[in-house]
Amino acid sequence: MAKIIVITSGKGGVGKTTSCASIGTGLAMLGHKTVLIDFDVGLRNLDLIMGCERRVVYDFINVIHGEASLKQALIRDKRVENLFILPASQTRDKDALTQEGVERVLKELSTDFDFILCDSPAGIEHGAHMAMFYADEAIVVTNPEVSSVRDSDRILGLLNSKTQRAIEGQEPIKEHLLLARYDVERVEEGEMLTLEDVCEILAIPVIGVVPESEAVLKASNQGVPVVHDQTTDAGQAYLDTVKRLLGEQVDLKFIHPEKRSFLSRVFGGGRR
Amino acid sequence: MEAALHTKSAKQTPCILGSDAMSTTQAAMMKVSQQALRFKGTMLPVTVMELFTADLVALEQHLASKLQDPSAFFTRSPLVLNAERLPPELMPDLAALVACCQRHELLPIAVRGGNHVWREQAWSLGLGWIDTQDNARPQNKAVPHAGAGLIVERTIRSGQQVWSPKGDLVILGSVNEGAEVLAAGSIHVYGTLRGRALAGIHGDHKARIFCMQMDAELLAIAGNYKMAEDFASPLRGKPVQTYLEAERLLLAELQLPTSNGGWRSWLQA
Repeated sequence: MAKIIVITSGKGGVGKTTSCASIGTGLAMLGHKTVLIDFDVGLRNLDLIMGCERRVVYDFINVIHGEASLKQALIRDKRVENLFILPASQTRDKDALTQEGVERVLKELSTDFDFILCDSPAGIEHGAHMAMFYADEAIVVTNPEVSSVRDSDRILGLLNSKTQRAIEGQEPIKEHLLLARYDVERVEEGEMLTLEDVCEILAIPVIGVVPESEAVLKASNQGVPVVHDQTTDAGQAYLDTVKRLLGEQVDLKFIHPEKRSFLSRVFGGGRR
Repeated sequence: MEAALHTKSAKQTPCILGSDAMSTTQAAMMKVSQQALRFKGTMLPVTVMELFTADLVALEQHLASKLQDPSAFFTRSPLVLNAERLPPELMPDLAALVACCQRHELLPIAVRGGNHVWREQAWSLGLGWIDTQDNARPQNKAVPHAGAGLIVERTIRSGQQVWSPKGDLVILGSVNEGAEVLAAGSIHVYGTLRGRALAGIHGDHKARIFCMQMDAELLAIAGNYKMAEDFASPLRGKPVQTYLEAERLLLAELQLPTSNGGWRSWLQA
């Protein structure tokens, strides 16, 4: 039986799809058969970030409506073994996601995958609801700023009330906080919330802190998840996150400012 | 009979449990059959006829017109005559009223309200007397919210609303920004209060709001409220209680207990 994990946030643009791509790729790199499902029907992006946009023939909605089989719609990743993508439809809207259809697809995938990652759309409407409904675990992606934290708080409330586990009174969804775009220096200067501030408000365990990094944008534009490049800080942060998700104990990195030498402080000029 | 019972239970539970279950059922049946009767408290739906006038002629006319309607579903049904809306000194003659009902195929079984004369009359006519709704729940008035509190052991998140309609509300966690907590009694937050807290929602002026860290958006007691910008900022982040004094909402830092009985004096204050 696969573990179903929803990547969600409430707010848009915080790094859900980027995180989904890197965490999914990381799981596959560590030998776990993983499928990524894009729930952002009408505004699909996951295929771009994964670099498989030219290979989309059938999509999630086609499978839900029985117009294609899962086998036809799943796209095999070219870089990592054990990794598949189920893209969203770009021409439909979120109402095309039926609860029965989603359940059927997830059940079918559950039999031969280890992990199913559901990339949720922003917002709290139907698409986000469908993405979280059958989840066993949730990774809540948050940026260190107040509006993102408030939206994540709202999503956590919904995870506790509007999901199958909540409605049927089963063991609640396991929640993880992924703090993305964490800029240590701006946090130090008091321009952004600290990790402690965010943890205090959201009151859920942290699974990772991903630093603000140029490497992420570059990776997205190239369609190669940043986790592939282990020379980058964000790439390392995502791989550590995956290890924690698998139960390993890994210390958090990139939460304290680098110690810069006197000379680099004098001559180094502005921020990286 | 044993055989019949056995087949029945075997059908319901196709397992070894059958024989054991049957013996308990049998025992229960024996016990019931040994008793001659049993009293049970129950809530039954019953039609209530509310009287707005003591004028028997008017009542009879209204009944006649009402019951001509073929859709009148309450003919031949038991009826409670409710006189709570009539002044006690102006009561229709009960015997005449009952006769009037019976003419229209209604069967009064009890009366509610009225004066002691009515009550005596009801007894002699073989009707019951039901206490008025006000008198039926005297405790509710004396103790507005006893023992009906609510304890919530989690953080209340943005967009969530927790409501304790009868008593106090205790939250073991924080109330986050955009969340709302309401209680008929007091509110206790063992965490940070960042959202909205409304105590004494049914008008209890003695209700209070306590929190370990004050950072509320809105505080209200019995309809008197203050927004975040109205509180003194030195209290932010501190343990604070909010209470009403002469219709004014006041905030005070919670004093920690000291050896000289400081907190007792605070309790009495």
